[in-house]
Amino acid sequence: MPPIPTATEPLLQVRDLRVSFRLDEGTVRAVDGVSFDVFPSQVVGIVGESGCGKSVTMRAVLQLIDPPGRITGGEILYRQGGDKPIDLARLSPRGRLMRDLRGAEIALIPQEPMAAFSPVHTVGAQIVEAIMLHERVGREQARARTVELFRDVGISMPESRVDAYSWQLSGGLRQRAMIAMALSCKPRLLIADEPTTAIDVTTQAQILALLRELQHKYHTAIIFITHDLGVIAQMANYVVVMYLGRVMEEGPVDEIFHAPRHPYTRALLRSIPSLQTETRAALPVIAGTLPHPFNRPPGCPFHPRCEDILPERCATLVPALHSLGPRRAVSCFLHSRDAEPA
Amino acid sequence: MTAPLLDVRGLRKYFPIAKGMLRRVTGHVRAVDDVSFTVQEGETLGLVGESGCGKTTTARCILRAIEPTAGQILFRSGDKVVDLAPMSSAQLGPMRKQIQMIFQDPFGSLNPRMTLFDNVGEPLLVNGMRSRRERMDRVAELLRLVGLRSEFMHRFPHAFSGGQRQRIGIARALATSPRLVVADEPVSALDVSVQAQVLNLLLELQSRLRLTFLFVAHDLSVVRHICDRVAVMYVGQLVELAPTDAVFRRPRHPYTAALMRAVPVPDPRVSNPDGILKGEVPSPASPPSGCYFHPRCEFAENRCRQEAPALQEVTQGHFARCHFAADLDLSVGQRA
Repeated sequence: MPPIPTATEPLLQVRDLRVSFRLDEGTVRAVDGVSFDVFPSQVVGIVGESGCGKSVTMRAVLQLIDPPGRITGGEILYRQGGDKPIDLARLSPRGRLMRDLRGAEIALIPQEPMAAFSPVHTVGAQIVEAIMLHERVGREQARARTVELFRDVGISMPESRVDAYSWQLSGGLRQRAMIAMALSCKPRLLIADEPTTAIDVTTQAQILALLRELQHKYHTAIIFITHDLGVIAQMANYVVVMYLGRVMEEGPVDEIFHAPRHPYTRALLRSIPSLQTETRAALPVIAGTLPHPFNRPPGCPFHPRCEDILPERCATLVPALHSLGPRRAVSCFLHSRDAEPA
Repeated sequence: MTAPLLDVRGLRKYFPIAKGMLRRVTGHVRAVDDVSFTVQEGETLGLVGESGCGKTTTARCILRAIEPTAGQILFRSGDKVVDLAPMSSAQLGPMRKQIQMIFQDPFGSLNPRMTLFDNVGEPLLVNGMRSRRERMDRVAELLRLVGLRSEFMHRFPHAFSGGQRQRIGIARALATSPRLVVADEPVSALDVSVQAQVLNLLLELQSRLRLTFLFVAHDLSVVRHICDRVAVMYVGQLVELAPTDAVFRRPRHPYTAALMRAVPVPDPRVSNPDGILKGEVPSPASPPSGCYFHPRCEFAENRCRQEAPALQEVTQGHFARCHFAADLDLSVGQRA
């Protein structure tokens, strides 16, 4: 693992972010007080199971939360230049400033490249459009840059492939084209939302290697969302573990995997079969099931499934994210008695 | 030694490619091309490969959800061995309860308008269990078997999580007391914490009911955990077939080794071994000459471009479709 780059100031600071969806059946607190930092040219992995709020957090950073969802609290501080950071949470989703940032400064690689590209326009045209939207360049120039980008992301015959439609490309090529589009305006922050979940393992290895290579070349900061602990271990410098809209634990990748502090992280790591574990033995499991979003347990969201539950505290009070040192935090009463204000 | 429970010989499934207004057949997609393997009673055979390799088509042929183009599917039923491949649907009727399936998507595979009792009990009704009382008892027993409460039988699938639904799907597959269960990616749609629960359940049910599994999957870690033997497919062909330990200790086909190297190691202190497979899986409609894997193989020589290798037995019980299977050392080491 490369050492964690130590830039002085974070590129992105998410502070106590809250997003909820008001539905007829009740309010779902999809993101419930999430905080983490992203430093320039660092890969932050966000790991968690379905419903943990990892994708909603990222959509909030991009101001892409659709109603009935709403950012109800917290700050998303983005440092564009050297001066004061902008709070993205306060920007209007349709406003000029947010639209200028989206795609140019902060870009997204979505999970399903098939759904992300329009099937009635060529992939090249869609990338050319993105470039021309953000920069004062002509169509010819934008197209030349697209071809160059295609070459960069390892698409063979880039001159002809720019005129292909997304459905003419294989899954791997489509994801490469998506990466080319995300990088087209040289963003400083790239959000990759499960970029390899829908593709095969050998193609996944190619895409991960490509992302690593591009990250070294352009020094882009990446937020990498995945449920695959193997991908996290191989890609991230820093890891945020989420469960039901809250951060359970965060820290450098080595500490998360080798000195996990939260019972959820520990249980999660134990429960994965890997190419190294003993075969045909019962895997240690996390008891119970993920609760339904309308039935969020009170207290610590993980307490009904936790092995180390402290009955008098965990079921009633919500543990605060407690700092264990620089860039290392855990929210669990085993480590600190700090609770969220009721 | 008794005959294997399932003996697949020379299985082929070609899908026609029709072109033009007259839908003239201009070629074939060889989705499954001469696949042979056996499954012993009580064994779990993993069928592994990337999308489009033919693993699901193979499974669907065995279930006779589709009709194979050629080949035999010999199934041992009692003391008799029957060939499922040429059977009509009337002949298949009594066989079906012995071979059941667990599906990948726990959300799409249960009828949302039917209660658990109807979902799980339907195979019983189809197989002649007329009495509602009897079916209720059996469904209750099945739900308990998969770790659900029997009171749940009057609820509808939407009330259950993904993991619970997969348990319901397993209960339904077991309703007719099958001897062979085909599981098509049964845990790949589940969350990590639930995946382990379902894998444990499958292992437990197998030892309790002496089940035989054909386990179709793409996740090698899961396959290694649960399977006795592994069959690796590439472009419609079997490229390697061996006991699980042997495959993971020393794969004999470069494709298998590449698959193993590609699985991200869940430990930041261990880097994935070098050697990422280049290129893409060729189309089964126009596979390359010679060995299908040669355009992506780092060891390819002239012979590989011209001559298609046969599946050869390298060591006892370890088969590989590679000219150099005996010579290559493909042990997948990991850099610490």
